[in-house]
Amino acid sequence: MTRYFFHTSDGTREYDDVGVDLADDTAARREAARFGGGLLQDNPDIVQNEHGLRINVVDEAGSLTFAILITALDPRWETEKA
Amino acid sequence: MQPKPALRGLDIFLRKLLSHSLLSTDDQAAIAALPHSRRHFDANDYILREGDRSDVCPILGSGFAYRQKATEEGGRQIVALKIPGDALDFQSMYVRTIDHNLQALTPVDLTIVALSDFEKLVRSRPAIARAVIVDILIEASIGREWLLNLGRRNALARLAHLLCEMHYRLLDTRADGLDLRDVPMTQEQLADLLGLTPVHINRTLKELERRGAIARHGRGVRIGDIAALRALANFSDTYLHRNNHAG
Repeated sequence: MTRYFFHTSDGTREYDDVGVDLADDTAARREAARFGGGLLQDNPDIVQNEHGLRINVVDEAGSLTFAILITALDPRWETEKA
Repeated sequence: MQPKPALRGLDIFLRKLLSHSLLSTDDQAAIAALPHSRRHFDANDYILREGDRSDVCPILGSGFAYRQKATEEGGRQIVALKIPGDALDFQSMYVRTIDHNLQALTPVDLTIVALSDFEKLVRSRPAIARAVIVDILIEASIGREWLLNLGRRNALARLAHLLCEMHYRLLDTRADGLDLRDVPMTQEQLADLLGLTPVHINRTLKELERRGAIARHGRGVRIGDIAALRALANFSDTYLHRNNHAG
């Protein structure tokens, strides 16, 4: 078991100082996705933030294991770029 | 009157029944005289298992317990929380097979009464039979409120609602209501109860603390401001039927 910490930024930053013990990175990724799903269910508008919702999953040593990004893409922006 | 230590479980059970039903002193004496034994379980021990049959009704004298069901993949849902004074298996008087698991949340002391003795009591004393039914109905009402809580309230209101409910249910049998320092519920257990991830539970506890609704000491939780907690949960205690017998 490894302890993972799930820090979020969705306009404001929330620092997870408790963490959750999980089997491995795969389990942590699932947990992060479920957590993000829960946050979205509470407040679907967070996808409209400038940078959407970002969940940084960090190990006990403080290094980033991976991040999950949930954001809405503006189709006009896609067109301009093309 | 000084209660005998051996009767503690039946005393608190009686107090619980009297919180929603009127019973004559004669009926009360009949309950206090129920033959019983006592058993202790440690935290996490199974008290009842799905698929079993039971011929006893355990009554929770002290500690907390929960009913849970799990999917084949191991996803667990806590479907009811039982507090001191609660009878844990009235339903086996009426249905044959236990349809869920019952586990100790904390170390628990149980007062065990044979269902045959309960059956004799409800057959000969209509007011007690009625109180048993009211008790079962209130548990069903709490279940309906939990469905709403899990299905439609956001994390903050959901957790606030659970804490309000525990507070008011505990007030029926003790003066000070909720002090979760006696209920060491882990993030994981709260997550299994509220259908949220443990991380989300932790974040929500922090938010409740920031708003002054709760106070935390390490793992323990205490009500900080019940009015604030009620407002966050939009809590009404109607479904608990706490003044059922008041006119």
